[in-house]
Amino acid sequence: MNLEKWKSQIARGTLEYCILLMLRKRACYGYEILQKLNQNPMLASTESTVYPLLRRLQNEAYLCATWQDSAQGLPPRKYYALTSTGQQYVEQLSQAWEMLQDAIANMKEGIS
Amino acid sequence: MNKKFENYLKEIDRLLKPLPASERADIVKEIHGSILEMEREHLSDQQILERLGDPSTLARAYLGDALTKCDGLRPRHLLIFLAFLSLTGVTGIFVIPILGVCAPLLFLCGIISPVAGLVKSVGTLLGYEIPYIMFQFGSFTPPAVLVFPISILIGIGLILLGRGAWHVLVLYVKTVSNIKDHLFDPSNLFTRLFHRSVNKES
Repeated sequence: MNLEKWKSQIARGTLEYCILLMLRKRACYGYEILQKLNQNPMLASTESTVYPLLRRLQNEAYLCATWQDSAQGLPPRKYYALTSTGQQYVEQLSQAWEMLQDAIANMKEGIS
Repeated sequence: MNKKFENYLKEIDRLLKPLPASERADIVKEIHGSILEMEREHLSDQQILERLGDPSTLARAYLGDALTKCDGLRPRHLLIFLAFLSLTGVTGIFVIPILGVCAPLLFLCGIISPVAGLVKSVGTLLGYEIPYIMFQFGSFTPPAVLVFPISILIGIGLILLGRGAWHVLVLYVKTVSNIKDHLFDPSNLFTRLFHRSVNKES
């Protein structure tokens, strides 16, 4: 029970970073992001967590969005892309993440 | 489109009422898109609804975010602000002019009283009755010897009253300005709402 709780907390805390990393390569639409997250059991999420998060990132100007309306019977898709502020933000998050990884590595080695 | 999903989206739209209409439409359109994507993947209606979850949970996830950032108008803060304006407006009309006039006048009288007492006493000593200065408390008229000491006591009393009135005035103004600062504190939600609406207009 504790393990599950811990896992979900980690997932919640890193979801934002994961989505931004995903968008660093190319623009994606919301459902696509969800599907990619769900390929990893640790990151499995639903609309109710990912969509509000995307909206918040958009409101904070880290993401910009464009609608691609239904073509050839495809559902309308909202594509998200990183803005320049968003790119800077991901770099900062990456740095912090590396620091955390170093810290964990240090703990494992038992450095005094 | 399936009636179940139509109702689901309608419910989401209803629950998102605190958000601006354009934002609401965008959210509903995106969720609708998700439903269509899942239908393309041949998920059953039941599976789709399960994954989307309870409409109120989904709506709250959007609203929770928006409310902490003060996206919608917050009636409670507006009311507090209006109450503050009315209260200070009404009390200010009385408190500031009354105390503002009373404080210096009480001071002035406090100075005049011993001066008058001194003049009266000196006059009595020299054998003059000065009719312009009279010390009388109801039916009691103090004997000539006591006129000067009494006038000094009265003077001190008046000056203390004046000082009190002045302190109350200063306290009132400071309190009002502190409350105002608090309402307009940058960390205060109301202020952020206020600035937001100003930013929107510009």
